[in-house]
Amino acid sequence: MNGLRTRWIAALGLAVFVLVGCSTSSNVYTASKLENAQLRTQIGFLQSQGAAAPPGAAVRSALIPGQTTPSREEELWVIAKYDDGGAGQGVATADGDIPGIGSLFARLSDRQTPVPVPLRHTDVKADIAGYIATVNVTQQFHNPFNSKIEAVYVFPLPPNAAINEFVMTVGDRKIRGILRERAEAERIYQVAKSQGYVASLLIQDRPNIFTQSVANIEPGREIDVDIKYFHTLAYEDGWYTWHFPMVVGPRFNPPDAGGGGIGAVVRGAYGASGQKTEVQYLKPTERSGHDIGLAVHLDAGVKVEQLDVPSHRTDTHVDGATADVKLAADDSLPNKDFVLRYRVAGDRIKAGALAMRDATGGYFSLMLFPPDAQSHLPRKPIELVYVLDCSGSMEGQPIAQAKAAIRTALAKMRPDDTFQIIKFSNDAQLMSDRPLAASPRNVANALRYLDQPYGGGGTMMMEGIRKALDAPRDESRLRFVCFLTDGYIGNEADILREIHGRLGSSRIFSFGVGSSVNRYLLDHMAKMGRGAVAYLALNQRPEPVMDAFVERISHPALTDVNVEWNGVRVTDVSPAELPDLFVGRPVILTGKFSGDGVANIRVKGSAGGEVQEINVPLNLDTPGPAANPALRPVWARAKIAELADRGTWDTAPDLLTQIKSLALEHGLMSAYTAFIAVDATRQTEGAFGTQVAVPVPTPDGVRYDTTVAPK
Amino acid sequence: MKRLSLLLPLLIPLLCLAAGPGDPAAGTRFTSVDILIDPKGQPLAAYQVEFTAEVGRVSLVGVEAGEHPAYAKRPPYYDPAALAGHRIIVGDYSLDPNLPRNRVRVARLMLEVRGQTKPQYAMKLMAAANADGKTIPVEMSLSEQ
Amino acid sequence: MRQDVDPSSDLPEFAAAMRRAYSHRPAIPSEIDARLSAMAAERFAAWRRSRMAVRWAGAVAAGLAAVIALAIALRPQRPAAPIARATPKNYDMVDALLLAKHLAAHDAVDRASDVNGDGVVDQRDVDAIAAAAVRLRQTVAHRLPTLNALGLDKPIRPASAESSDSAKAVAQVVAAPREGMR
Repeated sequence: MNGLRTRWIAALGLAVFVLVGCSTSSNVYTASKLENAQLRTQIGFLQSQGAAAPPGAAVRSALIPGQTTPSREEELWVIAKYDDGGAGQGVATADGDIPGIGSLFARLSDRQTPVPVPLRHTDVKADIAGYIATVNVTQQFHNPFNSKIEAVYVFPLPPNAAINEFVMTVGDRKIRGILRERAEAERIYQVAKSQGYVASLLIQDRPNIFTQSVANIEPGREIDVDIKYFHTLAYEDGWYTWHFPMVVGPRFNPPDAGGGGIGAVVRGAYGASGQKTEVQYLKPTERSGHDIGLAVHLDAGVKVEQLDVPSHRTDTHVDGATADVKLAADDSLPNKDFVLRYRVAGDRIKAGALAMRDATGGYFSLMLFPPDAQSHLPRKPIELVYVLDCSGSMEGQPIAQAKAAIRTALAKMRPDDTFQIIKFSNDAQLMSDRPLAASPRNVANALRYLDQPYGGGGTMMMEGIRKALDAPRDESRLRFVCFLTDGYIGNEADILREIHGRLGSSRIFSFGVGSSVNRYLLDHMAKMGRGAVAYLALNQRPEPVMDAFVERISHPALTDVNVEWNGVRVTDVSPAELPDLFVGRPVILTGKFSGDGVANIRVKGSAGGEVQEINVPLNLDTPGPAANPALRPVWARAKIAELADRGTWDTAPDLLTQIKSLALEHGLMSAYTAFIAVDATRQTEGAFGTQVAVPVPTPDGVRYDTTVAPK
Repeated sequence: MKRLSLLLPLLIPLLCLAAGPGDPAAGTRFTSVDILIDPKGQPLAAYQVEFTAEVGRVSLVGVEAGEHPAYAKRPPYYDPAALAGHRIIVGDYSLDPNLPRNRVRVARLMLEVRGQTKPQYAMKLMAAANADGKTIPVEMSLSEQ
Repeated sequence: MRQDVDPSSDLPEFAAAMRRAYSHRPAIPSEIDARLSAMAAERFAAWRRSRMAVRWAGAVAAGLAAVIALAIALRPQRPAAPIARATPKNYDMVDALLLAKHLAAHDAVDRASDVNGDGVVDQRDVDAIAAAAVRLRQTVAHRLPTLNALGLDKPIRPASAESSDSAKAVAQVVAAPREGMR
């Protein structure tokens, strides 16, 4: 009996100790994982999607946290940006994605201390054809120290950049990098680094922020990294803009950012911000010696009427439809974005098509240009639904500013327009049970209604959305739903899903009121609602913004736009829902086509109550000299962005797979793919070296002392 | 025996620790494989080769250009969607008047090899031509670092 | 009366005999003379015209011949064999080489070599052929579900049935594909 008992005890003990032992070993692995994680914060690893958000944090789609802010230059119409007269300069918003601000050129003086950095020079060559730019960026890394280093460089690119080529040059040897799923690329990089191989890794932290890491650069050696990307140019009010961002501006990360923000720290202060991705900034008295060379060749296809580079001194030559612009050698400090603008617009709606075909199929882009001015466009009666956030967070200046904006808009309305005012806080309250004509009497009543006390509680935006979108619609009017809010809610995915399901033929315009609004929500509401977004600072006059807003929406160039693809089969068109054509913003469709012969594409829409048609013939056998090989990655990039945006409200588990699949198939970087290159021919000697982040100058005009975290 | 049965529960967790925490770098190494073509005296103006890792867990981590000046200026063409390294097609052409006529490295594949199994590779020639586009007989070989 | 004189043997006498025979010169009325002169002038003018015409015709013919010769000399060479031997699905690197070679030599190339359909045959077509040549036929991506299968492939909304009475066609034909873009 004693023997049997002993055996049972031994067996039980064995089971217990096996369990304890295994958990101990996994704890050891976890400990080393954490240690690696600390290292990884220096190079911006993305935490697993299962990471829990801190309590109280705004919950975003688990699919792509903070990754899908739409490109303002491409898909989102921004009516107004912050303009607070310079008072707020240097303080970035919570999740703003505008890189670099500034006005003055920082001069190198005798009192500036040179700081050796691993990045010697960046060379940029851009080729603009039509509205697509092909850009080659060469980063020259070197090791100015006497021991091996790993260089880490956080830098910006245009938010809609479709990166599809990556070549590492070691000496005179060129090694083309491979696109992998991000986690796999990061793993390969870490292993190669730990084993002493020269390796490069490029990852995407944000749609417009990237981190380049180069491991095992031996003393005195140079490693070049070439990146190639395509992107479409911004178009606004007749001007194309090509923009090359040069430095990531210091970001403000709210306490509940959960470590997923972009930290701004002094040089050498690794981990000081607590954020996964950090940018180190040089003091105003320091100068790194990293400079930038930039050259642009432009072929606009039509005569360039005006060309302007307001940001830098350049050497510019314009000849008909082409232009060559080169950055002046004495303006090569990379502390402010390069902006090139040129003008080609006319006075009528123009339409055109770009197409190309390769072994993977046919890709097209259909572009509708609005006219320059709206004066000849008929004014159409509109229905404006003002949805005012009266929650506690809006108390004081924010709601006063929002009300002022509504008053301005009401004053611009005509008696044949209609309006509705909905206030929401814990619930939603309508001014009237149906839209009211904007007669002087009704407008006066509305002004009094605005001033009546209400709210001060929670933010039940859902109720406001339902009331605004579910109300019966007057088919003779365009309904514009204007949300005036700071966006401080915790259920963005639910809100966006609701908008998607109830939008119908309404349009949503979101107005962010306050100094630190939820841009993520507001941008996505506007994009999903085929409308626009505007940001009103607290001390900014709302009148000019609302004046422009009402003028434009009441003079649409073309609404209810749809396309008849006669003679051609098209698929994967982006965007799936066509926005209206307003002055100041073109409509661009991209997609895939199959077939031959001549396609008689017909764009139809309404303008002034009448049907307008625009015919765009396209010869698919020889689509014409309007083609561009960049169309395929541009289409793929747009499709990836659309899927990512869809992920904000659609929790379908295969969306991530689709995004990865698209990115890998078309060789594009994304939030889920990364480029890796390893020189496996030689292991460098010694340990894998010291990590050296490339410090950058504070953006021109930004105050270092108020924006960069102290050491 | 009694003592052994009591000691065993103590030994097993120690063995777990000794086995290692599952370090992702364990059992991973990097290597490079040169693709060599011998055009036997004829000028090699274009080539196209399919490379397959038939055995072993192999992943592609880079593609380097050839050694001859005619093929050194840029890395060869390959499908960016080459996943998991099991199969890749590389190829290039050259208009250089000075073309390789003897055995030469046309491309170098950087590979990550995981696990203990020694990889085995295979190659298939898909095209090899002289400057006139005429097919020429060549011999292919691999050289692993 | 005719006197037979041997001109070769007795030249002075022959000359004298000729003078005697033609010593009498009948008077020609002026109007006849004038008409004869006019006829002669007209004949000469016509001859001159015809001679000028011949000269011009000769010049034109020479010019034409020169043009023809020039045209023959400058006529486009027989187009290079298009890459039509390979369909887009089975290009190989030799196709890329051949096209690159023709481009480098500034040869005329067949439009069928415009692989990417941009209206010109250039290095981009070479790159497109090379990329197609190395394309893996089967990749992991192809085994994943398509957008269509997942219902994410949304078709364009069909044209709404607008009132045909108020339909007003505003034709904005894209006159030049280069307008606004290349």
